[in-house]
Amino acid sequence: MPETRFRSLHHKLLFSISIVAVLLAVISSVLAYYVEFDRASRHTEKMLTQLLDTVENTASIAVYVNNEEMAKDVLNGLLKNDIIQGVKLSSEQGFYLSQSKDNSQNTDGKIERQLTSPFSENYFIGTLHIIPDSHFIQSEAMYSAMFSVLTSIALIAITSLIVYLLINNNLSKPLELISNTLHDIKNGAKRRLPVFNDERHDELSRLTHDINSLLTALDAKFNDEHLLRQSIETLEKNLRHSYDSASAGLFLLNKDGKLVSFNNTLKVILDKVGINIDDYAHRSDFSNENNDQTVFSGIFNDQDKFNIALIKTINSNQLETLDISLAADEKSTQTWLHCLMSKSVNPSGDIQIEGVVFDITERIKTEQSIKYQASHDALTGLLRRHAAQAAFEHFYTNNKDCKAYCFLMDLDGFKWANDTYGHAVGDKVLAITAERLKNSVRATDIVSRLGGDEFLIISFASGLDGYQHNIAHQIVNAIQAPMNINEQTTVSVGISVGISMSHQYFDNAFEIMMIEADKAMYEVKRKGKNGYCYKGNDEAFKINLIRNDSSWQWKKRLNTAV
Amino acid sequence: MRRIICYLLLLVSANSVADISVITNINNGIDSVSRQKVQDIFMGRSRSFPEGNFALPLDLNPLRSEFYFKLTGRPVEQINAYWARIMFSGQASPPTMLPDEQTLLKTIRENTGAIGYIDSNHVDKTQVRVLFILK
Repeated sequence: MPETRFRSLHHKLLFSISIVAVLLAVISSVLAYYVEFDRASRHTEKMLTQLLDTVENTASIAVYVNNEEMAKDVLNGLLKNDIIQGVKLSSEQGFYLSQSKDNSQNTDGKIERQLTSPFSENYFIGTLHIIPDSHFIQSEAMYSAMFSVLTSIALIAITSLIVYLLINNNLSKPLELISNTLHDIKNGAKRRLPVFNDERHDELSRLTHDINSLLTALDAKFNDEHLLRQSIETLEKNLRHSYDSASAGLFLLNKDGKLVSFNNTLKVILDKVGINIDDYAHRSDFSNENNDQTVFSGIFNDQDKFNIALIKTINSNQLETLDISLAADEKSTQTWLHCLMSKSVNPSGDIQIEGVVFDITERIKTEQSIKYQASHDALTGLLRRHAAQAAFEHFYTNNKDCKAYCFLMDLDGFKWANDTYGHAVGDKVLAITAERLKNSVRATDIVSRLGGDEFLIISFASGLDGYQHNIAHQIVNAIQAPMNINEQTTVSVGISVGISMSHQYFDNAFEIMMIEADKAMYEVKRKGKNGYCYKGNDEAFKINLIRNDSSWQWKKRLNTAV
Repeated sequence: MRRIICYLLLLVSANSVADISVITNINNGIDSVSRQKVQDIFMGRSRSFPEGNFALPLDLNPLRSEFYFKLTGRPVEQINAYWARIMFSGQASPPTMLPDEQTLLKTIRENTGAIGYIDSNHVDKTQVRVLFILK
């Protein structure tokens, strides 16, 4: 709204009435002046005629008898009137009299009367002229007109003043009071409009009464509203509190997979792994909703998994559940979430996805450790036999054209070491053996402890013939190196390795390869231990025993035993 | 109304007196005058006959009202008032009033310019000259 100067009602009223009064005064003055002037002029003429009527008889006689004295009397009498400036009397018999107040020859408005004999109306004897005093007449008319004008102006002024005072007193002043008081009343204030003392019983008192009622009603409404708002705020706070402090993380996505809202628990969960949920939240500084808000699935490791579940949720009306890990730099700090999603439609008809997430990292960790313990040997950390078989089957069914080498191994001299130095040293020997075996092959190869001092390595390779020979040689050399258990004890053991091979996957491959490898290992044991054996293309066992270490403990024991 | 009253009066007077003759000295050279001239002479406007001789109007007391009424159509009271106004100015006077016909006739015989009026029935044309007859 443009700043306009406030103009009080009674000033406007005063202004309007003044304008009307001045206009009326001007119009009535002009009218009065002309009417009055005209009336005065006609009145003067009538008076002149009457004067003529008065003296006509005497003048006639004077002219009739040629009596100049008498004629002069008549003329002097006429001149005594203010409205007459000059008179002339002329007789047919030649006498002529002229008199005037001054010597001006002005004959404007001259009135002439034919004189006849007093005894015969048809007998023309002379003429009587009257010259009116035009200045006097005009000033008389003017005076009269001015009087009317002044009277009307005075009347209009007085009437206007009375009208103004009446309206001001009865209408605009109370209205101003009402308006000003109402203007000053603050929202919710207890102040009310003044009630007029006198018994007015008119629209103004009704207006005041009604405004006061309205103000009171408004106050009550305002208070109600205030209380209502307070309770709503409390309710909202409580709801928000339960939303935020819920044990589960809650989120709401739109159908594009973008975050609409979330609770504090989710934020806390994500904060733990260094994800700032505000990066995914809708940014209010962009007007367009679908600008570059990052999709919510970005917080997960396996985004596709989440997106598939999301699409399934949208397309079906069923609750979707999935366990999914959050994107994080390190695998050890990985956080797992159990996520439930269901479709909902918000009041404006948009499809939304409600999600509930629980932090199930602990459970997953427990599960993983149980699974690990089940599949791994506690002492060496190597796979157990069934786990090794499962890993073999898993890999080989997926890579059926791969060559697989199976190394079945048994330690030589372990029983002796175990009996000589005790179980603790034996266990240590097994652990060192496992370590050395792992280091002898690639990380992707399967290394397993079958039980006791029996070990298994399965290696997939597309290498040339001779690959198995190199590996086996490496293994034997690694194991026969002395093992420093502690400062006093150094233990040396040997290893017998039986090797089998498969060119491609077939049913029962594991069992067949194990049997074949066992046969080859038996050959090594039979021929003298600490070596390796595999079946060549000619179906004959090729045995390679390694006997180059003179300080070999089990050989010494063998000798003493012999 | 006034006019009606006038006619009524005229009728009354006509009953009492017949005509009135305006007469002058037998030796006066004039034969007749107009009614207007008679009026002018008797009402003071003119002091001479048309030829220029001095005229001396004479009133006859018993016949005066009838004469003036017939001559001017006005009652004698108005005529008196008229004369009173003129006399006030001091410049003119009404005709000399004579008490009876004898005196009038005698005055006419003695003055050439005298002019008077009598009942037409009493006129002796050998002794006076009739100038005008008021019907």
